[in-house]
Amino acid sequence: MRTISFDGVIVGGGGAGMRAALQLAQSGYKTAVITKVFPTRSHTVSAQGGITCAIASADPQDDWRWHMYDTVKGSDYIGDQDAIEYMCSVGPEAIFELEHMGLPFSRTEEGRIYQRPFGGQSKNFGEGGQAARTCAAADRTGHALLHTLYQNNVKNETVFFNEWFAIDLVKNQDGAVTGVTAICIETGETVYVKSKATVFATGGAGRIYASTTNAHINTGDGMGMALRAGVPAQDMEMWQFHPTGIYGAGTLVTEGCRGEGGYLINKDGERFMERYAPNAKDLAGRDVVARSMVLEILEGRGCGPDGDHVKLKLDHLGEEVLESRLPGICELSRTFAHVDPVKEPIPVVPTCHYMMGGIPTNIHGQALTVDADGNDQVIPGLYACGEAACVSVHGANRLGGNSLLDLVVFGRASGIFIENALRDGIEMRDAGQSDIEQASQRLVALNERTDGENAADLRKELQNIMQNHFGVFRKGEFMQEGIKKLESLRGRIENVKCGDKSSAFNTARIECLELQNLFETAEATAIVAEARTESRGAHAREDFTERDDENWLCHSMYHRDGKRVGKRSVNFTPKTVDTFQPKIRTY
Amino acid sequence: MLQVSVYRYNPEVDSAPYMQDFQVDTQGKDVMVLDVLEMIKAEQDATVTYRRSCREGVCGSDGLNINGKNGLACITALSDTVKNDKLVIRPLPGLPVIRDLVVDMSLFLCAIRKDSAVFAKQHTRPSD
Repeated sequence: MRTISFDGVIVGGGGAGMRAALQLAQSGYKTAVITKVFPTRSHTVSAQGGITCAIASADPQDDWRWHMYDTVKGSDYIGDQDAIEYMCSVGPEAIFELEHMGLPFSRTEEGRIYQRPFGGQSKNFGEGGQAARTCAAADRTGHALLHTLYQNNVKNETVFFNEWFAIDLVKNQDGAVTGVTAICIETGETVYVKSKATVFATGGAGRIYASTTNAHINTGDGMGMALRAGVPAQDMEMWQFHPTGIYGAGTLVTEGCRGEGGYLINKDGERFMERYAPNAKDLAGRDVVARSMVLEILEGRGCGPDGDHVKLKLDHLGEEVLESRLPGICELSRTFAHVDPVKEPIPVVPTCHYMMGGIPTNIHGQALTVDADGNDQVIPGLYACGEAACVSVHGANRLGGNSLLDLVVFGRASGIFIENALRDGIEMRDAGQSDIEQASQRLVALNERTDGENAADLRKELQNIMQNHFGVFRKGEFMQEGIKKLESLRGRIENVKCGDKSSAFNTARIECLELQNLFETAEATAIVAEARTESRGAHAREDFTERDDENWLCHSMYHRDGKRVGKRSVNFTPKTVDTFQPKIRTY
Repeated sequence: MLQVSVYRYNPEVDSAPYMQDFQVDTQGKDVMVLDVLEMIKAEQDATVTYRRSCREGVCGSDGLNINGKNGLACITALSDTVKNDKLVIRPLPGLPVIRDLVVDMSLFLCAIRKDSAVFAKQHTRPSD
């Protein structure tokens, strides 16, 4: 196996990965991005609504502390307050940087960046009504962001390994991460990519569910690699079901629709969110809205012949507003729902959308584990940013628009930290031959196997288990049943048969490797979901309906070895503002 | 029953490309061309190779030549393209074929790189 060395390697070419890459490319250190798709195909491209940030464009009085309060409350109080403080305060700097890089934001008449209202956003710490804080480029903000970052990486001559798939982490005998093994999809060659700093910006894993807004590529590759290497995963039970995925297709319809004045209706045409969230109504936190929709359906007020969805009404906004501010979703609605939102409401249903959990990190992006005494311990050589990381700025529920902000703030922060670390000098023992071989073991096994089951069938089985047992509402015994089903699926997935033995651009092989990552992510989710005996944020249980701050005002930690569930403290000590104390969370 | 004809070429074993025929039962549903490819790969022939990601028409991965017209497979419904129950899927024309429906985008991307670098240079300001 050939070795290629870098000072820094970033796995993942989406928003976070490319922002980190840009930072490092500008530093002069030898860095590379490994991405399994061409960077502009990364899932960031499909983000619609915007980047939430208190740049005080729409409202000159807007304050990042209000944004911080909203985010802490939105997280149902297990977001780390020092990290949220950092993200919200540094945010405006990051946005203006993007603007200077050429991101074509939508503009107001005066030429300022357009900001729209979004879920969970308020003025004056929840007292001053709805805030318009989400900076947008029509409803294609992620597309604009990704292409802007790609163009700037090109300008800065970032080295890209496009259509290379990382297989596993390489660790030396000290337990430090020294790089990854990766396969070139085009040729089938396997390489050891050696690096002093390995950044996982591998995105989410929505494809563990049968119905998701996510792309086919969101298969939890970072989570799989991390868990197999003994890195813990944090808050994996926290999965966001976005209120408005198109019924049937799963395609996302942005919260921005509700921000522009759209609202949800049941079969009686009633704006039911007025009952569930009298103040914020349709712009309550996404977990609150998703649950309300499911309750309406369960109580018999759903739409359609099967009464299994509700509708998003937009026609009252008028054709001009729809075509200028929400052109993307107009097209999506026509293509996938066969509905023209100018005339009729769109059928929607809560759909798996975002992984709040991930690899635990500090605000510098350094990956963490906990030692025997429960203290944080940095994992040398490994970093994470974006959806794959859990800093945690989203806690038990993410606010809309905060993900794109997370990407650029922590992509940048990781880059800055690594640059400084490289300058100070990073000493690491080389990994030995057996360390490197261990990191390509599962690929070797896959290639040698002649029997086993079809990947597509196994994947469908996995997705159905997750969809049925670990959805919007959860229940102890039902989750235990799901966990047992997953247990018996593990061996079958480990022995998946690859239906294509060739070397050149073999996507069947990649799908098998991805399936194993999906499984690790799913099992971690299932086990911690069953362990957290309370309802908080997106994790809603029929058997534990209340929040239990006495026992569960903390992160969950999952270790694959022994399938152990632990707890880790939440940070309640921001540096420049007072702690936002946990309160009952209503909208 | 839908008759699907897919362009095949594996550089390791084929001296020339050829069209392979499949019969796909879409159960009367007006699915997207990408869904048909997924069905073939999952149920009939795992070696059929194509790029795809977002499945909603925003990423550009699955640009293909479908019944003679270039388009994104994930937003091309069968009703938009199928004639006489026949669907012919070929790679984007004009670019070298790496395998099956996957083309080498380097030439195309090279041009974008040059333009990107120029565009980014013209429209960025030095940091304050």
